Amino acid sequence: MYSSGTEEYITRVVEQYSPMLLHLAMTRVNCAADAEDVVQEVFVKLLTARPRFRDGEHERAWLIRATINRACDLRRAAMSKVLPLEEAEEAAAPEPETPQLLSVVQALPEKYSTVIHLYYYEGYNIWEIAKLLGLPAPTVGTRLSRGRAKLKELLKEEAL
Amino acid sequence: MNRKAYRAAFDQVKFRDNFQRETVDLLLTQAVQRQEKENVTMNTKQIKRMPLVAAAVAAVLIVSAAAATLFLRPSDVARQVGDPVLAAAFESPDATIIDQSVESGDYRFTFAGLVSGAGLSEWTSDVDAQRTYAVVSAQRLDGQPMSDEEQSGITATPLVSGYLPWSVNAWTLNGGFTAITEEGVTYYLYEYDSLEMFAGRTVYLAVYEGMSPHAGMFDIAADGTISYKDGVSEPHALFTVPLDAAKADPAAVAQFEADMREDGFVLTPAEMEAVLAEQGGAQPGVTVEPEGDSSFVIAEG
Repeated sequence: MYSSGTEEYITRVVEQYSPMLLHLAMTRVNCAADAEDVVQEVFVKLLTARPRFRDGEHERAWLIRATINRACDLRRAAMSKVLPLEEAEEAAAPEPETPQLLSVVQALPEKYSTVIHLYYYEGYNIWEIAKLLGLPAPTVGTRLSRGRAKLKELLKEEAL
Repeated sequence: MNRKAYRAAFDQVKFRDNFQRETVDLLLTQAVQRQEKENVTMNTKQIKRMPLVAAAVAAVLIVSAAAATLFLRPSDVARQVGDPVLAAAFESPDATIIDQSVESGDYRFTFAGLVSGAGLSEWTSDVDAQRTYAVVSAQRLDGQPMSDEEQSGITATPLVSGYLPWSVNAWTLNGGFTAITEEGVTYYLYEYDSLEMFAGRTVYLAVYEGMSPHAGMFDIAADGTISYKDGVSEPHALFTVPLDAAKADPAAVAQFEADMREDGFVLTPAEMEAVLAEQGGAQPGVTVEPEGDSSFVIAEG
């Protein structure tokens, strides 16, 4: 085990978790730069708060939760900003490079998008997601099922 | 939709090639700066605290090794975890300093205090939501410092009379915590969705060794009162959270219950009966509130 704050520890957590956290943040924010900001802030928080982890799984769960929270905060702040009309038009225009599926996942409520993402992108099963998010497995199952249904509905709407 | 299509959509997002290197550099720089700052803070703190320690020694004359430990106040804990706004809130008249201790097993658990408010921490999951912050400490009775394993094994969760402990707890109230250890004592700064909305009921803070609360650990009386089962072998303590009844918010509670149902934290009457039966058979007066075809609420009275 490394002491937090050492180069070995910092390098390990950044290399081990960055890809997962960046993609997870993308379920809530609209661009790669915002996702990068979120993940950097989460790592800063990790080093500042220095939480004690039971094991690697606990560490991973903490980082996942912190990333979702931070990304949600950023999204909420962006949505509540009062923009001048011109900027608002630009902001409202869809980014052409955003894949359709990605933008639809971003449109889901967080409780669904997180479970959907951990299941489809990270390949966790329901029991693993339940442990990571601190939720009962049936709740994860319900969210996955309802999230899939909403995703399907939104994809249909987009296609029209 | 399949996993391949999903992954392909997310893999199209291009992040900076040097993101990891830049992040490591940023964190290393901040780690050095923080260490320098901490050194200064620690020196300042010692100077500040000296008169307090000296005064206590003068008054009591003999101070045991255990009593000589200078406990951190809730505001100190918030400051140490890097949350000055929360630290100020713990020093405000809105905060409740509790300072109650229970000895159980090898430990002394202390509920130091709590404060509720909107937007106190930049890390709340909802900046507009009210959150409750509680500071709890754990220390070994033999004076030995808490080990890493012990520190991470302690849980402090709110429970609310009238609700099943495994339905309303730190997990379902979006809880989180940060822990620090100083002089062998571990301090936990917990945060949950605001407990004030439940002020019309008895709200508890259950501290124990273990993870989420389960049926084998708690008894629920006919009036909704929650207590530990006789024979619980793990170290445990149950504190009552003092809340201003005037701050009860039935509308927020109704919304919370609706969200719980939406999220699947719901027991069918049959499941509820099974739970109650598991508690030792007939529980006169305990009923399931009718709510469509399912409910997780136990009626009080």
